[in-house]
Amino acid sequence: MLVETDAVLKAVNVYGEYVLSPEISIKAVNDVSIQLQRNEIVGIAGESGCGKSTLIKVLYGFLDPPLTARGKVMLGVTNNYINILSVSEDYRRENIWWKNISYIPQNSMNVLNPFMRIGDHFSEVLSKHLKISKSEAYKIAEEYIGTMGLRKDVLKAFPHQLSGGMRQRIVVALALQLKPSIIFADEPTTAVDVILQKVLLQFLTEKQKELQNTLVLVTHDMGVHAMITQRMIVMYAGKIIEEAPTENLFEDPKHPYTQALVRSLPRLGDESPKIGLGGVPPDLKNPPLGCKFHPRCPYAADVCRKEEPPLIEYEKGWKVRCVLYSGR
Amino acid sequence: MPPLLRLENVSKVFRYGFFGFKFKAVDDVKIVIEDRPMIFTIAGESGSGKSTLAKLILRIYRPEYGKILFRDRNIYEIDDKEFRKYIQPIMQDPYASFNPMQRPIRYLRETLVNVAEVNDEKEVENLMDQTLAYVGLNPIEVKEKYQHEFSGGELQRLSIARVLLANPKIVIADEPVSMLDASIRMNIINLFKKIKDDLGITFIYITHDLATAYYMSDEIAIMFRGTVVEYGRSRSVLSNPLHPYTQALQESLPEPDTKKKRRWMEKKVRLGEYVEEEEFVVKGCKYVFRCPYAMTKCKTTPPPYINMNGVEVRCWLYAEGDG
Amino acid sequence: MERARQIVTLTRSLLNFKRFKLGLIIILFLVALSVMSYFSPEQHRWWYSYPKDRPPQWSSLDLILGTTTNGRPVFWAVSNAVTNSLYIGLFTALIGSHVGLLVGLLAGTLRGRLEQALILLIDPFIVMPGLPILIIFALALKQTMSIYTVPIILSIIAWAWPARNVRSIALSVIHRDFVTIASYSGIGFFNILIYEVMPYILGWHLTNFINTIIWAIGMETALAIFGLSILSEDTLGTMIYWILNYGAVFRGLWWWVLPPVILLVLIFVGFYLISISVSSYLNPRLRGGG
Repeated sequence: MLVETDAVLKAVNVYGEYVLSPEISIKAVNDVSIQLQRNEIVGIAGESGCGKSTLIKVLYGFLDPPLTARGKVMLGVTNNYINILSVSEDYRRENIWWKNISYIPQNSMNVLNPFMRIGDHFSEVLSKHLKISKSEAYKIAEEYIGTMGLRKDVLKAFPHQLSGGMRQRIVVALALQLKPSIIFADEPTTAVDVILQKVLLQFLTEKQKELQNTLVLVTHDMGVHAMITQRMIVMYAGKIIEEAPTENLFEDPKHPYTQALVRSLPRLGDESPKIGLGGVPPDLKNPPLGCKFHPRCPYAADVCRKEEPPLIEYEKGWKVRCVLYSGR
Repeated sequence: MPPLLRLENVSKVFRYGFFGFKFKAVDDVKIVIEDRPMIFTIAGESGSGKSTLAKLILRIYRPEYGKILFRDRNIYEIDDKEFRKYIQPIMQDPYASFNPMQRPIRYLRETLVNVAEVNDEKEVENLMDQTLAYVGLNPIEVKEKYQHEFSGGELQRLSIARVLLANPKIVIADEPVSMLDASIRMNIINLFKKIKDDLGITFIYITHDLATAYYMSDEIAIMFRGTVVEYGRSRSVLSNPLHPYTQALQESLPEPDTKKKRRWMEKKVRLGEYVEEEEFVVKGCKYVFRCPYAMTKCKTTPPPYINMNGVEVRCWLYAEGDG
Repeated sequence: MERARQIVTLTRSLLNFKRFKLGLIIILFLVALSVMSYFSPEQHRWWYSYPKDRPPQWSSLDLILGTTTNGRPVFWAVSNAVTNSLYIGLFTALIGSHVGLLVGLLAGTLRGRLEQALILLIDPFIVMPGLPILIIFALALKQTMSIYTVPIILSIIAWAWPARNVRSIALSVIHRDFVTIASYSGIGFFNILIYEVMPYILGWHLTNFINTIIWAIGMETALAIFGLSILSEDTLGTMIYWILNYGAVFRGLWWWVLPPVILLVLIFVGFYLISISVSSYLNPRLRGGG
């Protein structure tokens, strides 16, 4: 397996499909290949229907029916690589989830059991993975909670007794407690107000710096990407259409979709007129032929209606999927 | 000329929970909107009371205290038929705005016939076609389709078209773009601006997104836990925020501009360990638990509205006269 | 025209369900049996028109199921009983579930004092146990009981639960955004009730209508066993009354005991199958619309 050094995860030709019936299947993730390096913050951007949430689920190995996946997701574990998609769900649960990869979902209530105290949430995961007793695990949790900037008595509370912001911070703390090498955060701050969002994001980035692991942030909020991520992957209709360092992407976006997206965003203090993108995202049950973006693209040419352009490397670290650039 | 809309000491009390925990979703709000075409934004986070305020103006809820006056007339003294000609709503969820069992075109027709009182069939079709074209929709397609055959953006345009057919003085838009993709939001926002310029309609735009608020609004009111903490010309409020909450909001806003990254990361936010319900029942200023400048009187006495160069702020920091 | 087309497509897709087909066959069989009662010979109504306690004989249609201790042919009695039971079930459903629909709609959409008054009216009827109330009414009105008054008496209890349910559906619909938009479009109160709210209720109402038929027939049977139904008429319930009264079970008169029991079971099963296939058909549609 050719994997570059320092790559913690390499996904090759990954597909994620929702099979609704023998005739109808939605290719939410359509042949995606990405690499995640150690010690980086990556943002996955895109709007409704682009497939970013499904991609994360596939990379994490969380395949709840009707979601099916194929391809290779090679995770670096000690000196070896294992394909997440080829091992059983039990194996993932025992060995990979929480320990090597963590997943922070959008709504904190999806993770926290309303019938369990917070402390038990921590000790359960700790005792299972570190093979220690629950009381020992609880002690570790007490120390750990202090380092997160939360009071110890939080451990005694039930989820509904805490504010939404606290719960989200606890979910983040839970995800980090076994010091995983990769953290997938799927819209972790959408349900939370702007000020708390900043607290959570600062918290996540501080921990990332401390642990030197990989943080993958999935969100449609471009402002969040600009403030947090080092490089970005933009998805549209199940495919990656641009991949670049964050600064480059905002300064000089290449793909017409990214251009339209970046240029439509309002900023404080900027009163120049902004223009939105026309049309609607494609229906994934019946996607258009050729480039999936061509119905909305101001530069669409004949070739765009017939052939899907490949993802080419525009320059080092910058990939675009558009005929405007593949003719170089 | 009397102000177009005036809210005087408006409060709305809700109770929930088994033992009837009472709290004021809207607490002593004063807002004045002058009678000239403008976009007035009411900005706040969830729990700020902004949506409740919208529903109070739309007469979905009734305030326990205070008055809401349309051109100096109490809105509860205006009968339904007349009221609809003055104020119209645009809702947040485009899919919930229209009954899935009916064709959306029905509501446009009804609005024309009932509110605008256009009876001539030909004129009804004409006006509908014109308005649909104005908002960027194809009349022929629209007339046949059911709600689920439209996209979110198209449904919002339909809502806007319906509102235009009523030709109101005020349009209350409750988070009209928050459920739409970021790339198409600008289309709707620009449409609002265009309508304000072309037809002289005032928009009350309710949102939690300060960036779009800045882009389109003339005046802005910032809400926190049911109170208006600051309001005035949006350029002033957003370029020079006076209230500590407005300042915190601005500093926290993540912007799609990588040059601002360093500044954003450096400013740390202080977060207390309060429970949200406590903040609602504070006797004084609701922001007291989080405010870096909190004084003792902030907890006990609600601050008055103080005028600072045209911007009204509700904060003891600016009450110099009291010492 | 549009509605007719919708009904045709509805029935066609329903016929695809095996349960619906089976239920329909059963009901059609019962209807056929009941229709036959109109061709019954006059004398079957009179007691002792035939020799009593005769087991089934193939000699004539009259005696195909034997005779009762009253000297009546079981076949014609049972055919008549099916007609009357179905009739009672149908009319109770027509009256009861529609009164419930009306009251529920109003209770769900009105606000203020009228709403409170309606709730005050509905709740006692839900809480009170049905059978004892009906027994009291039946005792009091024994003289006036007939095929036409029994549905009315049963409706006294039948309307309350649909009213409650319709009210809760209406309440949930009335708070949705599109009702606000409808109101701001100048659409009047009754127009909103019929075109905005009702479509969400009709599905439930249809299932409830069918269930009320079953319930009413069951209730009438229960009353009849106590001797509190119209004993002068044949219903499946009154037949059971006479069966019990004459100890037919102990005396081994199986040809008299089995038919009404089997037919009762068939009625319940048939209507139940139709009810569940209709409601499972309507359910996903109601959520998606169109």
